[in-house]
Amino acid sequence: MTARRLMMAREHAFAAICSAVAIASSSAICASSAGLLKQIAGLVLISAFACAVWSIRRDRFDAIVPAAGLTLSFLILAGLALAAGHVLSAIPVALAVAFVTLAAVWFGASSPAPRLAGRGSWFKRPKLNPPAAAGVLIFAVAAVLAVHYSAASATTDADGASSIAIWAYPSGDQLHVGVAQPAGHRAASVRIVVTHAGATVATWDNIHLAPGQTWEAPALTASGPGPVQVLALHDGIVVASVSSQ
Amino acid sequence: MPDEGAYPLPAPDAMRARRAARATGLAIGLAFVADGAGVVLLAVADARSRSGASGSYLLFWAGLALIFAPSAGVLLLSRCTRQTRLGVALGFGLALYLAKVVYEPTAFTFHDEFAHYRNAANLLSSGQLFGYNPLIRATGYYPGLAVATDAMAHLTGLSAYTCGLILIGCARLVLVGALFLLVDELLGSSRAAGVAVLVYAAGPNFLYWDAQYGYESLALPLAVLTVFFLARRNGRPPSTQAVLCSLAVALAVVATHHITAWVLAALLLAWAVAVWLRNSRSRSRAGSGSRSRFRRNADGISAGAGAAAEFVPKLPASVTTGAAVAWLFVVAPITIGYLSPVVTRAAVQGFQLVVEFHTSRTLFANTGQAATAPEWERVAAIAGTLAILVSLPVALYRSRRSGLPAIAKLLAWSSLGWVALLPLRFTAGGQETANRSSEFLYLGIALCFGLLLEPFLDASRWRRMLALCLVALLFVGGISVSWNYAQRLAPDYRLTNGSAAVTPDDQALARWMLATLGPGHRIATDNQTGLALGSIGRQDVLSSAEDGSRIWSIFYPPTVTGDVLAELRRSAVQYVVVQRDVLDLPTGVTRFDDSEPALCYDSALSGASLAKFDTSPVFREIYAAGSLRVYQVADSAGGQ
Repeated sequence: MTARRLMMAREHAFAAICSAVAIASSSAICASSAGLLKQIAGLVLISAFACAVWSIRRDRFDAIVPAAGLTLSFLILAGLALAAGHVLSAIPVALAVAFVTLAAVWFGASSPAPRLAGRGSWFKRPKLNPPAAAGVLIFAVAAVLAVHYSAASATTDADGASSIAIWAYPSGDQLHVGVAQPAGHRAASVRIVVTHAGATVATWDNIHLAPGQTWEAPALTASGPGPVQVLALHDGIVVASVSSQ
Repeated sequence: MPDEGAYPLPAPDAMRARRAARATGLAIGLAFVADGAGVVLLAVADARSRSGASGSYLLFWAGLALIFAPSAGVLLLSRCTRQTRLGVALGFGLALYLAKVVYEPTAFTFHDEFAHYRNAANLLSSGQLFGYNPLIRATGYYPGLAVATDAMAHLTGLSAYTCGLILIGCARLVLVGALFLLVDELLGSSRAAGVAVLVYAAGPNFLYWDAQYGYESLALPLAVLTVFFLARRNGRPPSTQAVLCSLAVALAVVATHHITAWVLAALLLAWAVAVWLRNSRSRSRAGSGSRSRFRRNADGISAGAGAAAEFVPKLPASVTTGAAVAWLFVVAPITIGYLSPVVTRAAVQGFQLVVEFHTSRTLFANTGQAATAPEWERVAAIAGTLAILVSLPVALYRSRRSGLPAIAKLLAWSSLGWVALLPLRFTAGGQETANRSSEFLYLGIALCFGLLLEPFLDASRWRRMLALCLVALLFVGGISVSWNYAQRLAPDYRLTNGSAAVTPDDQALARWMLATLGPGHRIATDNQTGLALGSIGRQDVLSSAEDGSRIWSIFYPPTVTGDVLAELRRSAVQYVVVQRDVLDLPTGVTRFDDSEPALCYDSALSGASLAKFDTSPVFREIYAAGSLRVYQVADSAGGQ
């Protein structure tokens, strides 16, 4: 009898903890505009929701599949309803409410005492198979390493294949000039020359461009007819240019 | 010496059980370790391909072999429990998903991914559903994926790209898990379920297409899950909770992808009608006092004439069909215009193929190009196809004789659709239809192979090995046709023609345009540059399919003619973006838009056609990077 009461107390505590986690995560998400806290809280909330759905059939490992599917469906349907009302940003609150409801349903469903001692109890000690668990862990580590390595390789390749960019676009009577050095290129010093109808209207010497850095000139006034040309020179050689008739 | 009386030895049964548990654990552990090693090899293969180093092709196949062989060994050859098999199947599915992730782990790079990224970006920036999508307009009217992505982005603060990767990864787990559980439920064998998962993974679209950030990648797993919620062995009715869950998931499918929703609705309707007919026949037979009150089916399960009728999924079928039809006509009527040309083209070319034996495509190659895949891959692909063609009749014969529920038979017979569409692969227009239908029809093929090979797995070792070899052949054949050979590994951007792929310069330009000029400008450019500008840049790039623009008429003339100016005015073009690498494209392939006339793309493009933008006062060059040039169209041209 004491054991059963203890079990009930534990299950009630579990439901309460679940709800507290949901509300705390949701609050953290709403309070923090971005950053690691929001990322962790958001992922905790979604995972916890899936676990809460799973816990309805917690005696079965395979219930994890419908739990994941139902969580995806919830994101779609709740997201649609919120987006239709232009309040998609309220999704943390919706998820927390659904979570607390689930916890309450779970709490209600688990109240009848006879079920608690059965094989479906959440608190039944799981049988961990060490080789299997080690295999899953190694897989996870290998996957993270592979993705990280691949991302580094892709970034290096993309940076190496990028070209220096130069622009000169008009906005009203002003001309905006700028240069961007790709991340994969070495730092370089360039000279920028702007000509209008053949006459030099502005020059900037020794502009140091670090890898991945963008330089923008103060807006120039450029009105009247005649072609505009902007040159970026490195050691007297044109490395990029734009020109218009 | 220990006192045996004080420490009693465990019973032989318990020892055996412990040894079996250890062996099972070891099998799962090794399968997962091999999956991890396979993913690492694939990552190395892609990295070597990016840097132009040799050996990437061998590493690619070695990685896939490491993922496939141990998982197939556990699923087909071992005597593991159902949960063990499910765990291994999930690991297998996830490892194959990671093959796509390591292909390009920093950005979406597949064609349709750009369109779906635009939907997510539209919703994130404006908060409005059904935003304009110039890349594939119809996708904007099925916002399930965008909504789920943005909901996750709001929850976590992660980028839309990261959220998309997580979502599709979860969807992949649901697909593999739901398929396993569905076949296990229908055939009553977790070994058959393992076979089904392996065979489904051998489908040509499993490795890359259905792993991309696309609406079908999310909808298809949910559709399989819907059927799993409702299907029961011997046609028993599911619980009320299961029916409610199936309704919720089916509605999510309707809001996510058109064809998946229609296929699901058609399947549920066919299921309801088939069971209703079967139940009525049983009732009338029982009423007429049939002589044999009981019959015994091939599985040895007795089914009395007066036995409980099989479950008729009336409610799920009517709700799904009603919702799919209502969504199509009320929310997304544009879908009809989007899909009908594809279907019409396939029908016309299929008809020509049957009547005139006229083929318009070389196998194992993109349209208009020669096959580049190695000989052995082509042989494997053809052998795999022949193996399916030979196996299906046997499996269907078995399905007729066994007392399977109606949904199992329907799925099994649906595999004939794959056979019927196979000839379309010889046509340029029908190839897409045949290929895109395979992710649905392979569900039936997977079930058929589960049914066919299940008895083999309980037989002698050589028969089990035969089953393993057959599944391996299907897998190799499927991978061989999964993606164009030249694009199967990550590209080396330093050697890539800028008009054949979205380059880092395209992406940098798209970001610059969004930050500097703002979103929503009307831009004429080539296909690949348009993908970057239309998604990352959120610009309204023009295309014939989406707004009737004739972009080619701006680019092909060697001078700025009246026709060029007329098209600039008609399409209200604000910027022209020129990718000079387009000059290097071979003849025979379209350069700017799929609608351009053969007269244009069958001859070389002259340099003057692109140089005219530098010399005409109508255009003002405002940006240059590598082979890219951006020209602002002057007000005098009437483009703005």
